[in-house]
Amino acid sequence: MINEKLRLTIAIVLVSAAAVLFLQNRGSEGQSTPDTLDARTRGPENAPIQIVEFIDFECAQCAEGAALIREFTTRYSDQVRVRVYYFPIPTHQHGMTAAIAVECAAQQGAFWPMHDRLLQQQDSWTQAENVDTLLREYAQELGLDPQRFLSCLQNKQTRIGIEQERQWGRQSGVRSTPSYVINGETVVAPHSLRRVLQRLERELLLDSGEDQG
Amino acid sequence: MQLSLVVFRIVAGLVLFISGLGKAVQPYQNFQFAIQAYEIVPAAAEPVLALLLPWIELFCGLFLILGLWLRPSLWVASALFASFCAVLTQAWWRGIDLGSCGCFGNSLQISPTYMLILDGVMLAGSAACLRFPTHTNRLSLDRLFDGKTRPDTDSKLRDS
Repeated sequence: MINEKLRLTIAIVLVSAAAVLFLQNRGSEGQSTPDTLDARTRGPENAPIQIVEFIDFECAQCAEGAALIREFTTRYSDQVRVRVYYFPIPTHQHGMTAAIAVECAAQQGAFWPMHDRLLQQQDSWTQAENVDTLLREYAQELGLDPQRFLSCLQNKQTRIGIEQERQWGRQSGVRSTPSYVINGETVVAPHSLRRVLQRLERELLLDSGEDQG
Repeated sequence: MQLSLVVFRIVAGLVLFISGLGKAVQPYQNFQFAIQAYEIVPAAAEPVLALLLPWIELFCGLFLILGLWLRPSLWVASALFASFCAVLTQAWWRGIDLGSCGCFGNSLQISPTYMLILDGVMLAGSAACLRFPTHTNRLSLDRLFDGKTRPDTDSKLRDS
């Protein structure tokens, strides 16, 4: 009797494992990090200052850091290259939703407008009762195709891609937002970013002074 | 009493089965993302837990529903529900804003408070099922394979 019970147990375990693995593989077709890195990058490829940002759109310090970078890149647009990676924080209620919306905008070539909008208007959408509706309104105002945007929001692959990108960030040592890698140096939080940008600005000015001299 | 314990066993099994299945069919990174929110598991253990826990829940739930290997399954279920209660309580105590508990993957969003109540009820139910095994093993495969347990088993088990 015990042999029959063991045989039945093994059969149940094998059949259920096979069913779950089948469902798992069906759902994970085409799984990869978002293929919009070019859209999330600006500045000349061989710029002397390379900034990599890991941000969460709900994080207030990320908005502060993005403003510093925007100001810096406006002044030295030909000297800086910026690339943004998604790093939604699990405890932020809308961090992932916002990253998905920005990724969906990126797929229509509007990463930076959506990125700027969400970071500049953080106070309004993070407090909204229905964030999804508000994000769709933002997309419409930015002139994005609403149907394509909605279908991207509902596509599980978008979320999975962002989660994988976040995992990659964690494996690379990122633990909090905002985190930056500037010319290979890891910088965390806006106050450190400000210091590093000031130092880089001095170096740039010095270089241009030497060139003129 | 007998029927309610059988119903409880099946409901607890369903909760674990649905919770395990919801997470097992999705990429394990999704559940790892939920685990990280609790800020309690060391980084190295996160992927291991995210890979293993859904399968443990799934099989434990399935065995409870079918009534197969009931005693060990009830012990595992009780340990799982007790751990879930502890983890949710520590998150609440530390003021971690979880939004959703992440217990059922992305398919079902339940607030940590409701989940804590559900896990507490399930823990009490599993403990009751363990205390009265002869009542619990009605409508079970164990009963079919091992034969009908003698009526005095409950009292002997309690005495031992």
